[in-house]
Amino acid sequence: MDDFVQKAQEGDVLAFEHIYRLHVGRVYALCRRMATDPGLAEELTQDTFVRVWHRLDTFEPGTQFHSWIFKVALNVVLADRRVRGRRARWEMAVDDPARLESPSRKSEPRSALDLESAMARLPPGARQVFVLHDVEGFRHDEIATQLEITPGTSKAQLHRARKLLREALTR
Amino acid sequence: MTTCANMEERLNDFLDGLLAGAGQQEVEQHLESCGACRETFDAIRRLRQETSMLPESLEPPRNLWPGIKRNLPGGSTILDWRPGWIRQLSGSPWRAGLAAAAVLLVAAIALLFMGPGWYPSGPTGRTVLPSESAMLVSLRAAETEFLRATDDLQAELDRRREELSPRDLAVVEENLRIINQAIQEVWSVLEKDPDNPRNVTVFTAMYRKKINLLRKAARLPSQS
Repeated sequence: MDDFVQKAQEGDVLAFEHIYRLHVGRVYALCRRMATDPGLAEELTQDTFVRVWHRLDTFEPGTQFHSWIFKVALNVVLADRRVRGRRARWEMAVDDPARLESPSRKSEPRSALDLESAMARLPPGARQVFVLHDVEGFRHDEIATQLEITPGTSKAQLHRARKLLREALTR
Repeated sequence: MTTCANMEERLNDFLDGLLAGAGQQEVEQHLESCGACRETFDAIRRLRQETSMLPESLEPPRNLWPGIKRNLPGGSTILDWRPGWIRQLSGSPWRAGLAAAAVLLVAAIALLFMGPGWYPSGPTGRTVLPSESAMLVSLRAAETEFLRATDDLQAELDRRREELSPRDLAVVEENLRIINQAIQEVWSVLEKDPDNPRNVTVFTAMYRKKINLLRKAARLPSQS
């Protein structure tokens, strides 16, 4: 991997394409879960890699490249969220579990697809905290800093998300 | 003695390892004696387990590399760091037509609410659309008409306030608060950049949302 990074830092686009192939799934997963809209997720993924290319010289050798890319992706997602958030918040602000209908029937075992689908229908604030905490493993103080909320709000949103998901998945 | 009140929050904290000492022991003891809370705890734990098993990677439905490559030096597109949604609009092939479309949109709003005589007529008698510099004036006039519509619906909601369930009312009011806040924020953006067609679109979409929400609220069933 270091070789590819070094070559990409020297301007080798083919090496950068290799880096893209290795990391696109991880970046897209974050974008898709945070943004939910597939088109927006693709756009954020592309923005991430363009930004990675331009910031390759700031990557410090010896540190984890995948963690560094993930941080860049998260920054891209959160920067977009700040711009877009004002519009997006009201689009799914209704705190009604009926909006979180699961595609599975009660008698069938629920799948990862059901969970992804229910996550996508969470209100944005609850969804983003849930993804960062339960999927990505961030702590509440880290999430609070990233999302510009208090740790208490982060906790409350997480509990709300879990409750809504439980209700949606057992319906 | 620990009761079930606020127990869900503590169960979450317990599961996340945020409780220690006496707090942790209290929850453990309560779980031993309370079947309902044990069931809730198991459900939260199961959800956490399932979440931890979600795949770390998701493949995008299409190859995104060509779009990335175009934005690298030597690609065919000039790098554009504007936020995606602005780029989507102003950087799209539709750019040339969008300013005109925004003017037409405002015209459509005005005609919808005010009738065809609202815009000044030119010498030939044909309606003259406002210039882009007049966009803010047009939007303010259109907003006046939007406000008439929403005021009527708001009055109907106020009239029915006692009939609605507190939960429905709270949801409606929270959404109205968010939409009103968003409208204010769009105005502040519009004042800085009145000719950006995206802002005009968002502005009208906000009011459409507000009207739809108030209409739905007016049709909500009474709680009795």
